[in-house]
Amino acid sequence: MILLKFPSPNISMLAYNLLSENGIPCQVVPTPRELDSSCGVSLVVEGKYISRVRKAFDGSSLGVEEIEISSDSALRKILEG
Amino acid sequence: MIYLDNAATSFPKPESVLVALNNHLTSMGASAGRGQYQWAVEVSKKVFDVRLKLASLLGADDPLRVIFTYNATCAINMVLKGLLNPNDHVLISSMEHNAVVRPLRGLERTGVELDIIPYEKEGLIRLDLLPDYFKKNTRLLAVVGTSNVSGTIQPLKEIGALAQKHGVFFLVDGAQMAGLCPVEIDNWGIDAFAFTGHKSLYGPQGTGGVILSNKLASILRPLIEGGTGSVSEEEYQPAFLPDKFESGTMNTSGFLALGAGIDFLLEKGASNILEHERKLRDLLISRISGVKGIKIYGPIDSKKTVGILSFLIEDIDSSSVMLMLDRKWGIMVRAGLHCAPLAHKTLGSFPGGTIRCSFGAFNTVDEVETLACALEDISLEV
Repeated sequence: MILLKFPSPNISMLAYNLLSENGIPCQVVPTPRELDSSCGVSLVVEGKYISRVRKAFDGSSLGVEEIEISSDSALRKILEG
Repeated sequence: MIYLDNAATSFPKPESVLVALNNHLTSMGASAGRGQYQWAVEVSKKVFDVRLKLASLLGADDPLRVIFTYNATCAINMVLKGLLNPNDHVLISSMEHNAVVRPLRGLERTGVELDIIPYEKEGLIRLDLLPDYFKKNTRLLAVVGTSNVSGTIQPLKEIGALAQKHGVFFLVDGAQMAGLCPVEIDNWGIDAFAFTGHKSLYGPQGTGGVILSNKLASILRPLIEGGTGSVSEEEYQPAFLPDKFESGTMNTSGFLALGAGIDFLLEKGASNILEHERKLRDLLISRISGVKGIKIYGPIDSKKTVGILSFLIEDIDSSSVMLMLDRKWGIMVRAGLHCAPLAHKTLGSFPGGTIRCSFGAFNTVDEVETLACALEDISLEV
């Protein structure tokens, strides 16, 4: 699982739209506090989609950061139920 | 009752606008861009969709350049007061609304220079004269895209090309044209297009905004600073859009309803609504042209306008006509100067003003016929 972090909630929404338009499943989640104290939202995608994500974002200046979500993180445990 | 004051605010609103407003207020009342729980995310997505719709409708390639405000006046003030410095020179048209004129008259006291470009009698810019007005220190050219008094539509593409040629920022007051007339912000070199949501976009009052060019956005000072729901750890205002210019909780309910208004507009077709308004304007002109004492201000040819018509009945002041229409016939029109004394000076109707009828998507031929009968009746009474 990859967390995609953006500078603002609006840019996260723009990215969400880009991924939706390209048929890439993603979830909107709170940005984990240990990564960022901005109170924002990030997107989470399955690792298998990352090349498609990069292609979808190609040419846009979204300021995205890709962060691997470790298997023992609280976020991953919540998302995987 | 017959409502013919759509240039002030469109009425009625489409049912879907009421549903969207009600839905937010009763079922999912979270703030856009604030919070990360399901409702907040859902509302944020929907409000972002409104940015996308506006950018697409008005010809801007990036929804992040859509800045939400409470109305067009707020947006215009944001641009004027965030851009201009003492000794900057500004050009405006002689058809401007006080939304542009008053903040600039205020800025004159701080050393900003202001010149007014005279327009011809029907309220159309003299493109041949415009180049003579640019000076070395001209920073901004501001024009109203469509007059709120005569409905006259300006050739924005040509004006934008001249502004670009002279290296001047170009601000358009698009309050009366957004949603009705074709607009291509990026292709026409518009640096700031101010719009309101509650007129031809069929949204509620308290919604509006401005679409900025990246060049202008990068140097514009924000008027309001504060919480943006982003980079909360920082004590300084973020530089990215739209957050740089959007602090504090926005009118989320209003913008969600504005989205429904835009959907209505797209479903009906903006060009169809404009055509409908022009037909009603043409009908009114043909029906009142023979009425004793009628004088029309602005273009007769409705292809040069949106659905706004200004006129007077000779020897009767505009407020008396308005009152008679309202009390006796239940017809609501606007009398006076319409917050645009410069425009009335240009059209030759200052200081008395005019009676203004402005049509919308829901007005009918029967309503115009009733108005024409009423005006004939009033003219005969005098």
